[in-house]
Amino acid sequence: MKNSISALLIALLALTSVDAFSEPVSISLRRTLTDKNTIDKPAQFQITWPNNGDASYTVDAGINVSFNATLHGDTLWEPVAAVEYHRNNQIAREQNTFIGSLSLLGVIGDITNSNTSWLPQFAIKYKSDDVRNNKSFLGTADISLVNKTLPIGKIFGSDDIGLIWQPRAGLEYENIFEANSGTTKGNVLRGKGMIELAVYPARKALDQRLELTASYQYWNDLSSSSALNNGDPVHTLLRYSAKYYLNQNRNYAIALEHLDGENPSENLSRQRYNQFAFQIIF
Amino acid sequence: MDSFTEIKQFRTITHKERTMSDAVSREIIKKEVIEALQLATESPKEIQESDSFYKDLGMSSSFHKAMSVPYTKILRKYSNNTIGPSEIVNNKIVGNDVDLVYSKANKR
Repeated sequence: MKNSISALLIALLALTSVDAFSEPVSISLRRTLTDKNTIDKPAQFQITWPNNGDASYTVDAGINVSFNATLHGDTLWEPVAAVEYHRNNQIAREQNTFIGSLSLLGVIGDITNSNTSWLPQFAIKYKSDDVRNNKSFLGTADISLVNKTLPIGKIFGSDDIGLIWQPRAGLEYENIFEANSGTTKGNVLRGKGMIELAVYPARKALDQRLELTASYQYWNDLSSSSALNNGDPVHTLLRYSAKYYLNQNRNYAIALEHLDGENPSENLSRQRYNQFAFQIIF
Repeated sequence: MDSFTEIKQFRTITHKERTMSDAVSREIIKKEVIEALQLATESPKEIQESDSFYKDLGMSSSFHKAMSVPYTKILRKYSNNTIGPSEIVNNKIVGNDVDLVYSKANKR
C-alpha cells in the first residue's frame, strides 16, 4: 500500500509541472470519484466495537483536486486528479482497494439555450488491491446527462414529495499487470450502466434533509483474457440508503444502507449487508 | 444562512476585493448569473441570491455542474478565466456562484 501511495504522489507531482495542471482550483471530498456524475455520495466512515473480539471498520473516501478548465464553443473540459480508498476489515467482506486517477470531466452543451447538457468523463486509473493481491490499470469512459424535459438531474414533484433520477453508461478496460500467487493476470473489457433514484419525503417540512435513494449498477464482461474468463460475465450491485443530513448545507449525514452485489470497478466482492454510517461531503 | 455559508462568502469576497477598482461590478455579474439560472431552470419565480440550488431551485449537483459552460461564457466577456464543474459543485446558494463568477471576472 505504501508503494502504491508513493507512486501516485510522484505521478501527481509530475502532473503539477504540466501547464494545464499548474493551478489547482478546488478540492473535494466524496465517497468515490468513479461516480462523479451521479447523485452526490458523501465519504463514509463506520466503526464497530463488539463486546468480544476486534473492532471492525469501513472507510469509503476519495479526495479530488481539479485544475483550470478550458472552453471550446459550448464544450468545457476540466482535468481532475484523485485518490480514493475503500477499506473494510471484516473477514466476510474484506476490501482493501486504493485507486489513483487522472480524469477529464466534460460539459457539452449550454443548458441555458438547449434542453440537454452531456456530461462525459474519461479517466485512467491505477488500482491496487491488497486482498486479491493484484495491481491493475484501468481506462474508463462514461457519459451522463441533464435534461429539462425528462427531467434528468432536476428535482420534480411537490412540497410533500420530491424525486430525482440520474442514468449513466460507459465502458471500462482493465489490465491486471501484477498478480501474486493464486491470482490471475489479464485483460477485461466491461460495458456498464447505472440508474439512480432519490426520493425526498415530506420535502418542505423536513427541509429536504431526508433522502431515500436506490441505485442499480450493471457490468457485463464484453471480452476478457481466457485466464479471467472463468465466472459469470454479469456483475450487479443494488444499493438502498436512507440518509439524513445534519446541517442545512448538506455536509454531514447519518445513513442506513443496504448493499447487495459486487463492484468490479472497486474490487468489491459479491456480498450483502446493512450498515449504519457517518458521512461527510465537502 | 448558517455560519458555514457566511464564512465561505466572506472568504470569497474580501473587503479589499470589494473596494478595489473592479473591471466589472458585482451587481452586473449578479444580474447575468441569475439570468442564466433563470433560463436553465425555467423557474417561474424570480431567483434570489439566498436561494439554495438543491432545495429552492431543485438542481442536483449534475445540473449545477452543467452551469459551468454558461458561467464561463459570462466570464469571457471580462477575462480569460474559466469555471470548471468541480469549482461550483460545492456552492450551496446562488450568492456563492455570484461571488465565484465575480471574483474570477476580476482576476487577472
